[in-house]
Amino acid sequence: MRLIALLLLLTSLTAVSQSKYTLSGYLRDSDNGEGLIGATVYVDEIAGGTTTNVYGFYSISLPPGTYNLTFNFLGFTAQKQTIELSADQTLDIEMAPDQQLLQVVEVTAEKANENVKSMDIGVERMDAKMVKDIPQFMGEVDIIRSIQLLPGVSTVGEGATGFNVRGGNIDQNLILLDEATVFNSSHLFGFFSVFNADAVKDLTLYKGGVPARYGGRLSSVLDVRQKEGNTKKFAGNAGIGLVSSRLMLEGPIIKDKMSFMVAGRRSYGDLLLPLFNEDFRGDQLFFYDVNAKLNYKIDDKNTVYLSGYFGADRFVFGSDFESYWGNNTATLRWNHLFNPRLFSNFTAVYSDYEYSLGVPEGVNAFEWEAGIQNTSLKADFSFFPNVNNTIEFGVDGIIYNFSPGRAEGVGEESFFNVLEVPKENALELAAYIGNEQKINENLSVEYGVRYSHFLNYGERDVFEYAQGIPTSDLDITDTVAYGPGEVIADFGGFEPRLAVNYTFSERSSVKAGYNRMRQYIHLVSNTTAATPIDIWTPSGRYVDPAIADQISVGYFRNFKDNMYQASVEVYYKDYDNLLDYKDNAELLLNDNLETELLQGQGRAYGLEFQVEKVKGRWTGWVSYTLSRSELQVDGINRDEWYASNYDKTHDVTVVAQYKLNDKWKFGGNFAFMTGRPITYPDSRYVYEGIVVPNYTNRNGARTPTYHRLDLSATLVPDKKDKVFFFFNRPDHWESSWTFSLYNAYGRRNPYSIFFRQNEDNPQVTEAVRLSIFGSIIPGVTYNLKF
Amino acid sequence: MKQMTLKSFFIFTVVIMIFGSCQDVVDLNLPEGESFLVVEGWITNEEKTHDIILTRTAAYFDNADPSPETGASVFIRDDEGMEVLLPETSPGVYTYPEPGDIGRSYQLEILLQNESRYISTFEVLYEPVPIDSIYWRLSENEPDEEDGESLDDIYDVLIETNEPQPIGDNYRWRYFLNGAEYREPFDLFVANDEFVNGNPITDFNVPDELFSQFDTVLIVQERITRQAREFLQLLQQQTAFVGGPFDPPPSPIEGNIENLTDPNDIALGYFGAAGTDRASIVVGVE
Repeated sequence: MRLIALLLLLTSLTAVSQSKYTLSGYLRDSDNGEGLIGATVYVDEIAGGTTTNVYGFYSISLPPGTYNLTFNFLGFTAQKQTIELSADQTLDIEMAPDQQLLQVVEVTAEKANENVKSMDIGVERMDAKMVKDIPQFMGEVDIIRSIQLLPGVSTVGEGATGFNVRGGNIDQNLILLDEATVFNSSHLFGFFSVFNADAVKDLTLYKGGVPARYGGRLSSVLDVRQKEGNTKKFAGNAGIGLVSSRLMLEGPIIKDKMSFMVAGRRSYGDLLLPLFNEDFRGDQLFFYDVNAKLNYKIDDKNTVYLSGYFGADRFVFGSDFESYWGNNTATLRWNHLFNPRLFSNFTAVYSDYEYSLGVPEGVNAFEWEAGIQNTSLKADFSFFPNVNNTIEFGVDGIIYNFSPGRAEGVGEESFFNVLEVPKENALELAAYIGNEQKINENLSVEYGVRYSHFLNYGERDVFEYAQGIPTSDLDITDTVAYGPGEVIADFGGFEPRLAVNYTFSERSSVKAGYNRMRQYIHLVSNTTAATPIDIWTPSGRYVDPAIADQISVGYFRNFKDNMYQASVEVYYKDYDNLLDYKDNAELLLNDNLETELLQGQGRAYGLEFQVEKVKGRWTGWVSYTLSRSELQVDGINRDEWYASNYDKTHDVTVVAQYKLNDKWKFGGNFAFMTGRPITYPDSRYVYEGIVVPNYTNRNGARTPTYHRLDLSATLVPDKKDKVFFFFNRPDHWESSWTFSLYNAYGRRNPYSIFFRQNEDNPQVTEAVRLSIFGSIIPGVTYNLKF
Repeated sequence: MKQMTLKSFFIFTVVIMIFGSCQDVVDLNLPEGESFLVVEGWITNEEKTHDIILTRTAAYFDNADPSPETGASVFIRDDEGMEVLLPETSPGVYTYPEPGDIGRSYQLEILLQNESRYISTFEVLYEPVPIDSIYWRLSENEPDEEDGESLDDIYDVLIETNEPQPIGDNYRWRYFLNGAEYREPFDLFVANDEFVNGNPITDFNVPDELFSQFDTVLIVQERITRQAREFLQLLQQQTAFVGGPFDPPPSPIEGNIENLTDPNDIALGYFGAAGTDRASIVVGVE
């Protein structure tokens, strides 16, 4: 009710303030009709302006008069327009991609200092084109691997699931694909990610300065937007690589009104491997994903978007082992314009992450399965009262159903019982409001607050423990039965957010940010790299929500007409109630999981430096991160602070692209970083003939320094070249070949160092280096755009 | 189901092989830590003597037999007041001369020459669960020569047993080929009855090895305490399942022995009690 009252108020506010008129509309790509995210609208007369939101919408209110407008988006030809504003006016602009980037067109440079002027601190944006220019592992364009090249983003090792942001664990990243939460962003453990780059339009990573509209995770938000689908003409993309093949089709159903996009990808490890090794015959080893989207622009005020993602990994090794994990999400969104100053979006999301493994045949045959489902409803509003303020507010609610695991024997021969860990239910509610306010020429502030509330509810039995502390299942004193919907535990609190930008000039600014984040659901994983079968658990009777506070300060400076963009940011993060695990914790199929969990505090701090060159033949960036991430948990490491698994002292990344001519483009990445923390033994002993290493100092040592170079070359054959050298292609088709070398000088970077007895002489113990990539990994991909 | 970790380890190994991963031995300088007492010993219901072995930890790359802890006073007592001082029968080996009694609990106490006093928890000697039968048959699996198996290794040795009610039992199996015990980290085999409580268990392949004709295979089924099972499981985890990305962080393996004089000192190893049944068979002989 209050929300409706507020809406009415805002609508009437608009009605009375007739001294100003509103100019609003959408900025779109003239080639395919895609909305442009974060494009700027600059008004000469007020020396200021606004930017488009994630749907490409902008709104700006001005007194009546004549205005000179400039519309700008990186990589697109800027457009100037003069308008006579005497009433509310709609102005949709279609911008053309800049075909002559090489000539350093000055007009695009004019307002290309968005990095300096915007409120963004700790925010990284990439569009799909940029990701495609980075040398990729086995030629497979991968978003998660690409963001790991950004300052402040890292991974515990090659092939590890997810990514770590500013010293945070992988479960502290909110990963959104068209507003739907993605619980596992990886295929094939972590070698590839679930995002098909052909289907992705844009991604934004918030490492700090998180706006109030996002919540639920401590460390970052990765907001990935799928393409909407070409509204102009039928088009597509196809690619064949060593790992997978892809096909993306898009086009109008009703021109400029309704369009679709559908993209599919499947890997074919199981088809290729038997060629190298007979043992793999008959095995299954593949992942696939399907992205689909349908948009319908009902009228100028209403647009609906239906999008979905379906992806899975499947492995079957004969009768020995099988596993499956997969995400399915569906999102329905409705953009509604209440009036030119009040933009709204209503979202309904269903997301399901399921995983299973087992032994398909024989006396040991069994199947284990688990999952997490959630359904969420959201309403987000943007209100543009005047040039100096943009108010965002909204509400959301998420219902979670956790299935922590069920195992049963398969077949008549099986002697296993059925074992099921009871399901858990939870509801997460949140409301937020924030305002981005331009106080004067130099000073802008974005402030907001989010309130979140979490309820863990029945039906479920909860154990009571002696002294109220879940020490061991032997200390269970009682079982309390909670009925359906009955609240077992609830938590809530405010999450203030603040960002400040003080602009010295068109070229430099200082920014500061503060955010508090609360996280109510936790990934239960005590391994170095999370496995795809790790379960999620909600906060509840014995697990408190985790809280993080982050402050950051940054200096942003552009050089040479914004050709070079430099930034230095420092941050400090303080964590409470982070999960860790008792030694030898049993995390799978444990119906008193709380007895294995510990909670403690954490801190992370660092400095990130980056210089990026955004125009010219050479583009790319150099970044350096100096950081520390530590934990202190009673019961671990004699209660002393220890380095987290993803602590990296130094991390240097160089990403470069060179465009030689229209035919050849080259790319290179170089990464150099401190090894990850690892625990080494400081003595050994013998028990029943087994030589056992004795470890005392958790994460007290480090693997050797990591460095790696990747190279790529992209060939765009002349128009007259044939597709695959076989048949003549239509003129507007474009093909390209990408050749890549991952780990170009074949360094054996250690993933881990482990300790074992020598096979021939068990008396001798040895340290063994495991390198995931022991050599150069070549890749080749053929891409076709039509 | 017991070896879920093993399976995920296996699958990852397959995947990284595809990408040309490699392992090589490297030289490391490891600081030498403090020296700790290590205790090894089990008391069972079987008619034999029971050795308690005391050694000390050594530097990780020491590569020599562990040095024995000699001259200690070692006692075993039970929950009914019996207490025996164990004679040192060879350096560091202290021998309890008789079988334990089913249903009693046993405790170990050690007084070192340097006056440090260690004490174990009381370990219950549970009623053994009998192996109902042991038999061999032609295996469905082919011998793997790369794994050291010969072409004559074509038989499985299986047992039948009945897991008793109620839930909460813990087991350990030992297995011997021609008198030699399998004693590598991968050979450790412990389980609880969570998935099989109260069920008859047939065609149970304990050794999971292939045998040839005339091999004598002995299987020992021990019912142990939960704490002992957890200790052995952790021991295996930190010696057999290492090096992959899915390893939990290693930590000191706590046994059941504490230092009464200096609580900051730890004693490694375990003193346990096991209700034991054994069965053996000569393979391929009717």
